[in-house]
Amino acid sequence: MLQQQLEPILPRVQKPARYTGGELNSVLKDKGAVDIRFAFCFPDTYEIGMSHLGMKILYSLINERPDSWCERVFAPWTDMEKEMRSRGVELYALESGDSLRGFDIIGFTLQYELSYTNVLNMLDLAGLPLRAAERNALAPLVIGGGPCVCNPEPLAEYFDMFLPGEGEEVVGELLDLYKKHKAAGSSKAVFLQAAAGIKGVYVPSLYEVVYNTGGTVRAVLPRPGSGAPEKVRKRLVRNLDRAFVPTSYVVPSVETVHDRVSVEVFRGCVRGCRFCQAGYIYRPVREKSPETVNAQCLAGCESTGYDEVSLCSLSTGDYTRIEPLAASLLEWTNAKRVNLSLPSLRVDSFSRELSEKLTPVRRSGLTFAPEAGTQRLRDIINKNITEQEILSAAAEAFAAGWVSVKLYFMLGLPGETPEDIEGIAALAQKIVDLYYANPSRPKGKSVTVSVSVATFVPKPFTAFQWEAQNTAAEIAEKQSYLKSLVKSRKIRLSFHNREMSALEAVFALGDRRLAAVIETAWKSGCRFDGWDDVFQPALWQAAFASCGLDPSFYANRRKGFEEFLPWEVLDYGVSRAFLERENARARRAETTPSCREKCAGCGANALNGGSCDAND
Amino acid sequence: MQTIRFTFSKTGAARYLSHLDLVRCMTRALRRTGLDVKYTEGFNPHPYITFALPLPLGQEGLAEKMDVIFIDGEGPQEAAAKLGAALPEGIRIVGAAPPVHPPARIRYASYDLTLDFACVQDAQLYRQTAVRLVEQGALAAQKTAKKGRAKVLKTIDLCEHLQRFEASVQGTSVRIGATLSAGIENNVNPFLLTGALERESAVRPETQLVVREVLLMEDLMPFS
Ligand code: SF4
Repeated sequence: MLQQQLEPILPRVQKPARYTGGELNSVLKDKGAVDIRFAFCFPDTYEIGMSHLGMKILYSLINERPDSWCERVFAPWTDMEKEMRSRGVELYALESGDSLRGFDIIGFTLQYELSYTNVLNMLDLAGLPLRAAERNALAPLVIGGGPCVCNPEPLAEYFDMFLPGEGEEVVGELLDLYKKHKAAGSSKAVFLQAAAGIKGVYVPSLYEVVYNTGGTVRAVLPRPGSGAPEKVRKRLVRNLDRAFVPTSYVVPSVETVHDRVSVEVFRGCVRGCRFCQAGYIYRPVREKSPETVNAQCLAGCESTGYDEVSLCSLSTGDYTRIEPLAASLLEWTNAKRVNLSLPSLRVDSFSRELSEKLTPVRRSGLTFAPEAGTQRLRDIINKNITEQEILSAAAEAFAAGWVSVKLYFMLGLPGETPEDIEGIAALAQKIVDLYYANPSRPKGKSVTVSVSVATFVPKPFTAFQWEAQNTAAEIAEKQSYLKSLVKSRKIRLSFHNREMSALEAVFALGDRRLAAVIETAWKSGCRFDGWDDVFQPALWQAAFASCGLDPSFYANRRKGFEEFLPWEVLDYGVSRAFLERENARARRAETTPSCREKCAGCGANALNGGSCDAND
Repeated sequence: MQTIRFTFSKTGAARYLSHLDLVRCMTRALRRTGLDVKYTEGFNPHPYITFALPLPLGQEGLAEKMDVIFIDGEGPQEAAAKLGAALPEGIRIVGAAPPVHPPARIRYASYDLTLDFACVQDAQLYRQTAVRLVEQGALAAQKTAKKGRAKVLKTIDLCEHLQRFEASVQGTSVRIGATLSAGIENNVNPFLLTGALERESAVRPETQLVVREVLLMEDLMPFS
């Protein structure tokens, strides 16, 4: 039936293979033989979603259960949406082709604030009411996971529950409970109340948000009698060597963003960059053993046929056993003609020995993320890289024949002054000069220094969660100042869309009242807001205005430590006292040593029985 | 070292895979089989694979040909079984044997086209127009051609490239059997034919399914 409906559509849309399914290793089951049908939704394109490791893990994990069938769903691109709407095709799951409406659980992974309109659009395309309160039946249940869940409040009205933290264990518990209640014919209310008893389950409808007169949140309180916990603590997997990792992955037939096997080497980060949400919310640090990583890389390559494997984590160079791991990988990767890429090597861990070990295979490119242009500002953000380290790593790279370097910076960081902006241009120029100072540089080749500049976005559960973001207008000024300072044609300067960053901050820091804004913007046509060619900032401005909400209240206002923050109903392990301490140190431009050197007492180790692999 | 020519079909959802996607799928599938395939040298080695004639995106193929060089090992049938097990839905290995003819000998391809219309009248009009024009022996189409580096549009007469043509109406569908020029020199995409017929008849099919059945040589014998 669906096949017939799609027949006339597919030849008319871009990249039709996004919408057909049938990839190698995709899982087909008999729908009559399972109790739970789970639609795993990624609210962005197929190519992006299929590159996402977490989705692959949960897909396999759920499909391991004989009682459940997990299928994949991605956001249709705008052309496909038009065709689907005009022909009445409902959003369907790729494996069965069935409409989402008939599923038991619709699970969204929330990776990026600018995909929120896609979430609404997908629910609507499935023919479902958007608001949780309007979906009365037990099924389909709409749940959310992923990093944005550390402040799910802007989406709270649309979701039945959120799963803060790592999903591997809680999903199983949730499916067990759901199965029981489905068999018993429970109402949604009864089920949700029971689910709120599972550790790491946040049921937003069981909480009431109390506001102060100025519009700030006074508290998020469990409704009396609901039995919901006062704070929901994120879940985590204690032993990564025993954490579930699939032995086979769906292999997309079309090219995706990360077309390779990726294997996690550890979770958490030992660095403590003060702006970096990922660095805080995945704590404490838990490492996998090199044996496990090596075996998983090999199994991944064999089941997929990929010719590239990448080790992933927030900062792979900080993996304590990177050298023995690289050695054991290189034992088979060359023979199997598999490329090994280590994407997020930090400059100060780019050791010569490791780099030499990797010479037989392709390295993924030389990138540095100083984030700020001067040492003072780097100290404020606790990015512990010195200019000297960057320059000597670049010199080594040039000596080894590299001709391009990529640098990442941010504008609008707390404490930024004009000198910091000048520092960005100066550092880029120093690297250009360094290249020409190398007498053995390849003849006739010129150097390219790409400088990619984002806008600082304050995020929940970071030391900067209280900070104000610069307005888009302020950022515009800073951008043009930086542009005026860059003289060399060897420097390629690019800016991330500042209006997107502004919106990202609003939703990262927002509260439940923003639900109306998202819905209004979506109704007026906003989709794929993270895509430059689709993003429509004017429609967003109109949406804020018509809902009577001021985006700068959320993004451009500095909050005091006394203010309750909308996401403080959740507990991600890092204590507020620690974040306050870090914020105060930032104000004094005082660095905090990496967790390897000294535990900073973030508190997250309590989630792991007091242990943390960063400092044991 | 031996070359095996695999015959495969690419149908259903797999017809939306581009030629590049197909190359990638086959490469990965070969890697999964663990067969001892010959690789290119260099920084980014990949297996030696050649396709006799790429199939345009959106079309099905029943007997497409792909050559792979093996250094050592199993016979064609074993290789075909292993490769077949490593492919996505819609791509099936239907044969494997040492190559007989060089790909340069391909001159034609035979197609089975199914076009669905909104109503019987449209289907009949389309068919009548098609038959009349083919009988008259003139049916112009614009084809992009390479002139040096630039791409230019050139007008060709499709009838000169039409070796066989039959059309029938079945309900609201028109079924066309056609043999068209194919190969490196004069490849005529059947969408050129359906496009020209759409223009001349002024009726537009709702859907069209193009199936390339077999690649043929000058003597109209199958390329194998
Ligand atoms: S517990 Fe200590 S060592 Fe571990 S992440 Fe927190 S601050 Fe770092």
